[in-house]
Amino acid sequence: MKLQFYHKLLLVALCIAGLSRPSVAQNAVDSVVVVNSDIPTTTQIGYAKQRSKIISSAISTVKGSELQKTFNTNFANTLYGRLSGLTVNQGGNEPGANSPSLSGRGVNTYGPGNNLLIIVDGFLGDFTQFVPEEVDEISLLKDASATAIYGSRAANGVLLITTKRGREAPLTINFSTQQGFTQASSLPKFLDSYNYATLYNEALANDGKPALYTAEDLAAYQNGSDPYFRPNVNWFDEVLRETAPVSNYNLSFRGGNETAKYFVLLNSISSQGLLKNFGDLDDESSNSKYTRYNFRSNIDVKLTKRLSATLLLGGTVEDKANPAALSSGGTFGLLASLPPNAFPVRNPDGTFGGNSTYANPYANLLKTGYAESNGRTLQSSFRLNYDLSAITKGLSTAVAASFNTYFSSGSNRVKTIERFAISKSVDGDTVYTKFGQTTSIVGSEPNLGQYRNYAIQAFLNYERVFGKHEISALAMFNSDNSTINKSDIFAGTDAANLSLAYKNNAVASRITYVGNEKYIVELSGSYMGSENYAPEKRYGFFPAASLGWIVSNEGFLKNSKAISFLKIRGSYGLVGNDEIGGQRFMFDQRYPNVASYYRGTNNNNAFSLAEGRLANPDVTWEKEKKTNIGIEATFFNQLDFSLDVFNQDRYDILAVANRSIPLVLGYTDLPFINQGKVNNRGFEAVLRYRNKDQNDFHFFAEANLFYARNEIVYNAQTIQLNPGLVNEGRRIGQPYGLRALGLFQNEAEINASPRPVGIAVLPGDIKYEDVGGPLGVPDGIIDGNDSQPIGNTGLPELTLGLHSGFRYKGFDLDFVFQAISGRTAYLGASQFRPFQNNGQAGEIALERWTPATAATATFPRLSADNNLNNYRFSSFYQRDGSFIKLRSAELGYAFPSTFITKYKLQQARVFLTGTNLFSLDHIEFGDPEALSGYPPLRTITLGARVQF
Amino acid sequence: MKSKIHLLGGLALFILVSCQELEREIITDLNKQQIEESYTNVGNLLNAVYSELQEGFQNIDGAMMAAATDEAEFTNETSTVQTFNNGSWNSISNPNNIWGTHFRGIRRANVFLVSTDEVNLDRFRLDPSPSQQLVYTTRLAEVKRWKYEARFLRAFFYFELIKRYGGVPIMTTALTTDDIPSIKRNTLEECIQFITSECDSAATNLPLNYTATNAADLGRATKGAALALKSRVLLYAASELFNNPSWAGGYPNPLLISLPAGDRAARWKAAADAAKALIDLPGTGYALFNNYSTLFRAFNNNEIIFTRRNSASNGFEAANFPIGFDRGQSGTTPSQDLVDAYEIKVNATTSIPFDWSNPNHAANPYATTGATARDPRLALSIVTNNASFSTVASVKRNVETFTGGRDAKPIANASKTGYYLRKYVNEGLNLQTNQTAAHSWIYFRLPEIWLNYAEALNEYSPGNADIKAFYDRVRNRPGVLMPLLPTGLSQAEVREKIRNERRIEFAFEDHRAWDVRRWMTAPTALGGAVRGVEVTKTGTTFSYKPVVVENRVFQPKMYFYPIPQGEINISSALVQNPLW
Repeated sequence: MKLQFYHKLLLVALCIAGLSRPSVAQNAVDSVVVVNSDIPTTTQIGYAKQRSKIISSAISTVKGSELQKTFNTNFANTLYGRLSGLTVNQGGNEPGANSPSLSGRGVNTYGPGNNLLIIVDGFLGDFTQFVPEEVDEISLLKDASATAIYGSRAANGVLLITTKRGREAPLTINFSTQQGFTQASSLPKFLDSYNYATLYNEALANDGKPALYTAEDLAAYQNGSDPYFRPNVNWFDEVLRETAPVSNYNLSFRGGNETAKYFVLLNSISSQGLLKNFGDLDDESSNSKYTRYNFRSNIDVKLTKRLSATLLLGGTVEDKANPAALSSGGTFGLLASLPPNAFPVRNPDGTFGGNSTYANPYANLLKTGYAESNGRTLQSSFRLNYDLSAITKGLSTAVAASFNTYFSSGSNRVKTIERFAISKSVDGDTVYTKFGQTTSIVGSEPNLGQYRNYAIQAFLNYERVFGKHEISALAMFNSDNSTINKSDIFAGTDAANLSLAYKNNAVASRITYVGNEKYIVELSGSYMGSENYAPEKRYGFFPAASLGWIVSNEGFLKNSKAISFLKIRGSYGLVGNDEIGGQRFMFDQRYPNVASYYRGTNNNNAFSLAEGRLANPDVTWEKEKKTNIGIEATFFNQLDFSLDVFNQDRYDILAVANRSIPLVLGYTDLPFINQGKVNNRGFEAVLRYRNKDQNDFHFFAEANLFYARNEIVYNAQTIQLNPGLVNEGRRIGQPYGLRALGLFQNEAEINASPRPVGIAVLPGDIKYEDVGGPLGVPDGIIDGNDSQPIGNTGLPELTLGLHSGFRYKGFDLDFVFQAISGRTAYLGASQFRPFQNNGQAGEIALERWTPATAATATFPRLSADNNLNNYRFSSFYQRDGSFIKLRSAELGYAFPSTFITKYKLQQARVFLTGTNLFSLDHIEFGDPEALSGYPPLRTITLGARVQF
Repeated sequence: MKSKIHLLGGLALFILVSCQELEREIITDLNKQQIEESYTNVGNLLNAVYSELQEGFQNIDGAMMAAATDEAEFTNETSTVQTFNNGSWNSISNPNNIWGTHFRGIRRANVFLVSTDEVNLDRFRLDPSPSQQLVYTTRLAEVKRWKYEARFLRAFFYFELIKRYGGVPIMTTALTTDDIPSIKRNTLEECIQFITSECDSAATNLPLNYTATNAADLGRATKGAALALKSRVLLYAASELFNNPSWAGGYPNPLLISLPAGDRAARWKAAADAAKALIDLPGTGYALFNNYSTLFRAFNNNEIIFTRRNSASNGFEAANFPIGFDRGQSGTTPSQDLVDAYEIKVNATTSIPFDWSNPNHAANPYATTGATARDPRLALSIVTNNASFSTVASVKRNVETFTGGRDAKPIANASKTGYYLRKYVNEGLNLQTNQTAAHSWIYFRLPEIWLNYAEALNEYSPGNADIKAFYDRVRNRPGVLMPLLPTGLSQAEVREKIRNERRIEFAFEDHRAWDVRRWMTAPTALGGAVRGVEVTKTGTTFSYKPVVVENRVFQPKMYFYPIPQGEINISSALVQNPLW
């Protein structure tokens, strides 16, 4: 069915291609091969474009065309290492559930909202489902001057996405396709049955219990002579395939004339999952697949001499299907815990193996139904521009409206299946013990989430040059109304109130003055409000100012050969963060239901109402004072350098009034008060080199470096006697746990050391540092009082992006590395917890402590029972989470124009693309960003692109 | 064209202006006024005050309060109840920190009391039909009664606070943050006067019981509950701790932790009178229940004066079943010290203390028959070695606490004392099938009032015939029938008899921790060694040896809890208790 669709699409494309006549316009060639990442001459800023040279705020930018040399089903995954100041942290890997987390300039609040504000073509929106071909530019607005116009939503930074528009040029048609496959770049490694059983016996012996597996058992595991009663199943091999196909088709039309300009795009992308094609094996199962169709139609029309209109329409339809459940999380959880010798896939009589603890993953995927989801997105906006130069030259006005909507519905088909544990009876017969029950399939159609946002805007723009003085000014009004029950948009939002709309109103303004092309002054600000606060607290003012000095335009540098361009700039301002989490309308006293009382001769539940968490009538948004100082320089016209240093002081973060309201007043819960403070500082540097156009060899390299470190200044934490548990002065998200001092080597060492009470500690167990106790001093007991800061957070402190490439004759090469440091990975997945919770054992168990390996062991002694000492949250399982990843690499060949013009083509290129090809890191057991769940994916595609 | 543009512009302006309102679309919650007007909602406010009554099954981080006394030891070593025993609890970490929860209950009562004045019954009042007028008068009376229920509950919370913290701030209105600087601790005397006067007005206005009105009201506070609280408060007020600040080492605010010097005999008499007032109260129907075992799983019998219940559950059973029973976690395990306190019933008229040095006693310490038979309440309260446990046929067996047995060390989390809890535990629940039952935590039952009376009487009127009469009543329960108080004992001997009877009768009922404090015997009862038993099985016979399980710390400052440090940091007017 879907395959047919592709064919049709291809057919349509070819028909159009055949019909259209080759164009002769030279300057209309799309940048299919972008080797030089030239600085754009204009850059997208809040609600406008600005000449890049006169920008006095901190903005980093990447062109959509630069993001095409990769294969990703989620657009956000093209941004690794591409924008300085943007931290992209890999999320899930399953197609359709693989949004990374994005943060601008690190973490600035311990509150629930550290999300970037995402603005698509001027309105709140979502860009993760875009394809690079429809994106013109992405800008990350970082400092106060760049973001103040977004007022109370600006403090976490703003990501502006601008889609492509038509232009005054004859029609060009682009068609491209990519075909290839994905594979797991790493899978957890588990022991086979022989090693599992051998180590299990050792673990039992450690616990003082007799061995479970006999020598005969072990031999059978080793030679595979008894596949039913002594099985050795690699379940990953049973349910996963080596590679899964992916494909993409893209068709776009772009052109226009003085009256109308258009950009139209159709795209179809698909990525089939790593699970085998269970749908082909059983009618009541489904193949694992993810498909998305994108369309876009961006039209600009000049209605009269003074009036023009813009209509932007973009949409997606997203289909996803998986056997058993919509998310494969459960399957991978089961795969990571099911021992290899638990049961065979199928019993001798053909029934499925299984036992009381574990279901059979193969049977689950084949025989327990399937789930599908269908998501629809529409992002639309309409804008009218009116030139008011009749009033005064340079004045114009505009009104705009937008409606963005997303809806996802599911379709589940569920049933259960019986499984049988087999055993031998005394007289040698096979005895089947049934678990579970086979039921008929039952369907449900859940609503998986929705989002809608209406917004209207009005603008007054003024732009004029008076001799050496250039002035541009903007005044605007924005009102928007969003309804969200898509849980991943606002983390920490109270679920009960999710379906209540969020309303915001703002007036904002910006004035930019450039004197003599040397001195830049910009003032901007926003007066913004939300209905989430008490009537008298709804609005706030967020001003910012920036100054710039283009030193290279001064007389003393004008003729310098070495310094082609030099600009120094600085900004300071106040911005807010509206994502405060918690209950909506916190200013209003609530009277919720509380714990019931039981009464009456029948012990009935007597409902209880009580004053809820104390309202805070003064509740307001978080605020941040941002300071930024930057320098931009170009040397010899081919080496660009920029450096930004920033200091951000977030304050008014909500924290419970632990230190200001005594419990004696008897409030059910103490109120949230705007009182927390966080400091975050760091720098960004970009270095970009391109060789001068000479001969046929073009080379460029760009490196961006970003570092940020935050510190909780105040968070009203309750009194901590143990200094190790104090948050203030430490980083947001700092892990607190026990510090491991190695492994106990003998009883004497154990007896001389602090250890937990009530838990037998043996040689080979982890020894912890005793730093605290109930009185705040070491007490000789290891417990929660001994927690202290250990390691780094899961987010990197230092990010390096390296983008480089060259072109020689028709060949080109382009690659992007992402390197991060100052991050800790925690080995907490089940592959690092051998035999715990009746689970299997990862290969890490081979490094265990035994009396023989005491000196070299890197893993504690094994236990068959749940070990309460060795698997506590501790530094023992922390690893340096730094890595260097080759996020993308593309090798291409463009056919020479002499050759392609014969076929009436403007361009033709073939290319081989690799995405997430490898990772250099310190973790031998998997990917430092994905140690459990759906495995990380490597994608290799072969593509072709033609332009008519 | 121009007109079209103007039209468009005008339209746009109109849209903008009409969207500028920033008002909430929906009010999502009931506001105060909506609640206060409604009879049902105000009733629910009172339920929330009741729901602050805390049961004592697992309230100290999984343990019963008994595990912080010489009654028991808690099995889980990491539970914070252990800090009570090793002495490491303090003003920041207190395993029984009820300061916040009880002041929350007090605030709820205060908020409720204001709200009762707002209830709008006009709908019935203005309807002349007799049926509606009946509803009106009934509800009016109900709302009035509710106030006294709330005032009783507030007094109850205050008593729970003062027995832990001494004098605390008395608040009869819901204060705001503006009042923080003015919040000061009242003296212990003021607190006791406040509680007793609240009990008096509640007792005057509350009914004897609810059987006459509504079966659904069983469990609400009664006249008896208010009088029982008064009896308990005045007993504490007469006791040694509240009259003797000498332990506090020159504490500058002795009135926070003790009463002013005064006529002790009068205080004892007040306590005795308060108990007698309840005993003599006609029409209550209070009577001893005939089964010392099922009594503690019931909420509806004549012995109970006031109890708090929960929905059906089995968490308490899972936590306290012997380790060898499915899902059992041992939990709060009785100590040898408590087991030893159960007397030996030599015959129908003579009882003697148990004595390990007596070989007959030591050979068969849990005898139920014969000349060394123990008080029957031992077997009804405590699971001893080789005693049958569980009434579920598929689960039932004899408990094996002998070394190497199915319920004994070295099994992880087996009882450290060699005993398991039977009192309160519902042995009829099959945890394998997740059966559940309602639980009832009794605050006041009739024998306490009798023993309060006997104790107070013995202090100011030794030899009074009522002492023996009421002591005997407690021992005369069907199924217990312990020998009565011998005649000719000295005042001190009678005092010891009464104290031991309280210990036995109210074992695990959260009396011991407070009784030994008010008697000021805590240094020996809560400090020092707590013992268990080591059982050895030889063939089919068992031998028993008491062993020390834990050495505990009790310092004089622990007579009272420290005020939480966070409170003192915010409001320095809240003076800390002595020696903390």
